[in-house]
Amino acid sequence: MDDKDEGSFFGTGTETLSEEIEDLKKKETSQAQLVWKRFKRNKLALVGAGILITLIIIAIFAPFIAPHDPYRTNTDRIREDPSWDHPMGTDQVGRDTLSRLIFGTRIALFIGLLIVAVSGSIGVTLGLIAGTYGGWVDEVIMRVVDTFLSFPVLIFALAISVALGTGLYPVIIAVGLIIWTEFARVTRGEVLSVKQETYIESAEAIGENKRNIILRYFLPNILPSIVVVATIQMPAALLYSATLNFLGIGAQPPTPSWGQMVRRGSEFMQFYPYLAIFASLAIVITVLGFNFMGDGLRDALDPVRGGS
Amino acid sequence: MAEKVAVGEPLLEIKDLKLEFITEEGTVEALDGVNLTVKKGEIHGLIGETGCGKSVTSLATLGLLDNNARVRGGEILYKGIDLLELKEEELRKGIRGNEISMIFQNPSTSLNPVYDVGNQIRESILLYQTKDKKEASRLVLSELDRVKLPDPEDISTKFPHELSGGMKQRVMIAMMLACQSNLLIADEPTTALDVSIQAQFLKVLKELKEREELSILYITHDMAVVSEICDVVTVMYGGQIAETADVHTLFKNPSHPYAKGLIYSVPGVMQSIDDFETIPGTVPRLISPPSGCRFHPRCEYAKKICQKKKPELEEIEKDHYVACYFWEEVE
Amino acid sequence: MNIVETKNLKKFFDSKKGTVKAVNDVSINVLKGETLGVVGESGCGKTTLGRTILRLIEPTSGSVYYNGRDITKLKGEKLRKLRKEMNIVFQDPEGALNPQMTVYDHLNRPLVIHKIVDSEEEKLRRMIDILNTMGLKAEHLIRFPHELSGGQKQRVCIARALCLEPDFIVLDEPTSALDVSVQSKILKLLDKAKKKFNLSYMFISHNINLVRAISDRIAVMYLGKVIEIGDTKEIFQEPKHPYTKALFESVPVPDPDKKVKTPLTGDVPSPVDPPDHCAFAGRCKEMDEAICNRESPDLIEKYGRKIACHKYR
Repeated sequence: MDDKDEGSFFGTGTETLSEEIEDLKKKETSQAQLVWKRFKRNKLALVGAGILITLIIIAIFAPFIAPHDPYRTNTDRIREDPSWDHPMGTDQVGRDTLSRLIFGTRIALFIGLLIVAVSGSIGVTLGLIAGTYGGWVDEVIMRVVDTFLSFPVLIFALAISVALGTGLYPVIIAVGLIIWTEFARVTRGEVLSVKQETYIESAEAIGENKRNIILRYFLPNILPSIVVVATIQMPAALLYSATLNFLGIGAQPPTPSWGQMVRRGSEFMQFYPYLAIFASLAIVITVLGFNFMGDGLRDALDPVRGGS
Repeated sequence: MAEKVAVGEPLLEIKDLKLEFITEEGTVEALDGVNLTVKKGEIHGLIGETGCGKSVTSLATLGLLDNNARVRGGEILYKGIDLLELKEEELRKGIRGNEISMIFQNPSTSLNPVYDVGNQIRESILLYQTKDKKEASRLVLSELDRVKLPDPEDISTKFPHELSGGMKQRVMIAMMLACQSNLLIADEPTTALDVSIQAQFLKVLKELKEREELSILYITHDMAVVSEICDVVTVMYGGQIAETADVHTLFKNPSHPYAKGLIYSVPGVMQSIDDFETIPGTVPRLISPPSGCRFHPRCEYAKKICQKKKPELEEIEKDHYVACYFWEEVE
Repeated sequence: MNIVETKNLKKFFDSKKGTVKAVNDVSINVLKGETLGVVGESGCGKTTLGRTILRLIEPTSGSVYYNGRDITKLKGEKLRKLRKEMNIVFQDPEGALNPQMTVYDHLNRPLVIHKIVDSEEEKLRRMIDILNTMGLKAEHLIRFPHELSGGQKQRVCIARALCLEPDFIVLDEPTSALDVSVQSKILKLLDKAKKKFNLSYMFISHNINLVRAISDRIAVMYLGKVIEIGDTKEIFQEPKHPYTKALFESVPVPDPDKKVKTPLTGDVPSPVDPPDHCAFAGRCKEMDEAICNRESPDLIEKYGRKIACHKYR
């Protein structure tokens, strides 16, 4: 940082300019590369990412991985202990537990991602609007959020499924309707705090319009917090849908779903615990995977906290 | 520690203090042979830019450094006792508060928000002056009066949040007087204050020095404040001492190239922007500090020897110390 | 020739305690090519004044003129166009840069918004040029704010403000968060830019020694009002308003031979519901019971400057 006046203000050509630009291009690392660089320093986050990638692969290639047909019943081999043929045993109608868990991954991930994606985009959008515009807009949105927050989750979900039937979509709507509030609340709060920052004023001072202030200044700076909410809400969505499933709402038998399996397993927990244990384990591992990765992602997205 | 030190005798002597911090990125060589003497009844200014080690020096004196700090040598003598040898317990009971007090830039963080200030001062008085509660309550008012707070009775019933920044800072001083400390370490105490409030506060400090022979180690980067209240000034750079001189000598005739650059970049010393001096380069990172004299990469007088060997602090005239091989060349 | 002028500008905020009259009837002007220093203690409204002039804050009443044109009512696209001509550098370089944007993005946005350049090549040339002038290098373009030192961040902020070639810049304590040696470098850069572009500055600061060294004229504010404004040399030689006098006397000068004699007494009053009479009356040594506690003095032309004090009616 020398003070010598080498370049002048604008205009006069620097001969080395093209070289300098070439140099820059070489050194430049994209945003994604930076995020990855920071992410991979967090070992736990890598474990989480590993879990999730494995789950996704399992979900996609379920038919090839599963040792048995998840739907085929075998009344001769009911509630069998784990063996080479059935590594996790069989259920009350003799279906292979491992194969059912593998196919269950599809529904678990599908429900989780869909709920978080839909409720997340609704929540973040409403939160951004409330935080940015304030006033009566904010007032209205936040009252709606309060109203939703005061609903007892499970009873609400049960009520919805009574109205809409017991399939998958009532679950997604019911859980989504509860989860979006958290996104809206956090987004609004973060916007209000970012709004106070001098760089927002500085953005106005150079003539940025509202839309660009939201997209280029608010959103990138609140993204880490949204990721945190998403990673907390994703397992919550999984657990809620599993719980509802346990109560008989959601994926219906014979479709393999983890919640249903825990429910069935719990009925004969005392003398045959394997089904409940393995199905619960699948839920726990998935939830942990999301949590670990979320932590790492939050730090990686935040250049200040994550270091360079 | 009841023994008295006569005015003009050394109260605090830091000798060749070497200190480092262990961090994730490496070892930060924060202090590299710091020598500093604060005499009884003087206000000693410690100046330098961010990261020069002035705050670290003061925290080391009170044993308040973080766990990752390692002392690599030297001693901190207070009334002849090496503070570095004392245990945490001894420091807490015998030194902090009743011998050496410290005030910071933000007084709010040092006052307890749930007690009124009278209560907080009374507590110190009960600890260090008297056990008689009635007497203590009376002393509270006299302490507040000593720091020139108007209407002490009213102030003593106020909670910290009801007072302005300048008043809080004066309450901090009253508390330190209540502890009967001999040495006050003030770390940028007026940075957050308005000029008029700063002036009132500085006046209180000067009066305390004159009336009560208080010694003050005053840490700041504000040269105007230094010239206003300090008797002696030490300039630090990159964890080393550059120059120590009485305030007149330093402002009229700085002998270390860094001290000169620093003083001639102060608005007010220089009357117009064209005269401002600028020091080329930036403050070094102390993870891998420059060898020898840490200022040499930015110094216009630097020669080979400056890179190789750290210049020792040399007494070039009475009470005027400079750590530079070529101080005679500096105009 | 005025580049900026305010007429009876007011900015009031509602707070729980009452109405904060941050800027209370301020009529000042900034001449083309000059640096107007604005000084005062905290809560005097100097920062709000700067922001209100730039229309970053909506004025409560009164008007702002830019090059003789009333810009008080400009909205939307028209207001955004004006941003090319006037800009601001903030006190805190840490907060003034978006932590998620690189230096390149910071310089790119203003150029894109105002469609200043046609080709990427020309844009980069311009960016690198201005970074060089600010004592930074091309490689800083790919840095994020947290990778820069405080001084470097402030250089980026200035580069950002300058890259649109504005005519008027509000400098809101641009160096008070920086070390002395960095401060002098930044001041020199600002001075250089000013000469180069024939810029006009409004330099807001509480550091009176600093304002004295760099301003052509100086405005002293107290509790939302300008109480004295005029040529820097003249005002420092002979401050007329009792507050200006007391303020200058309270400021330590970096000269061990000159000490503060009689500091200003009392506390800075709160800008919440300020009195209708002269706000300085309570701390004033020359207060006249007959009038100072009754009426608010107007800012009137006297001795080649403007003063708001009953003493100089």
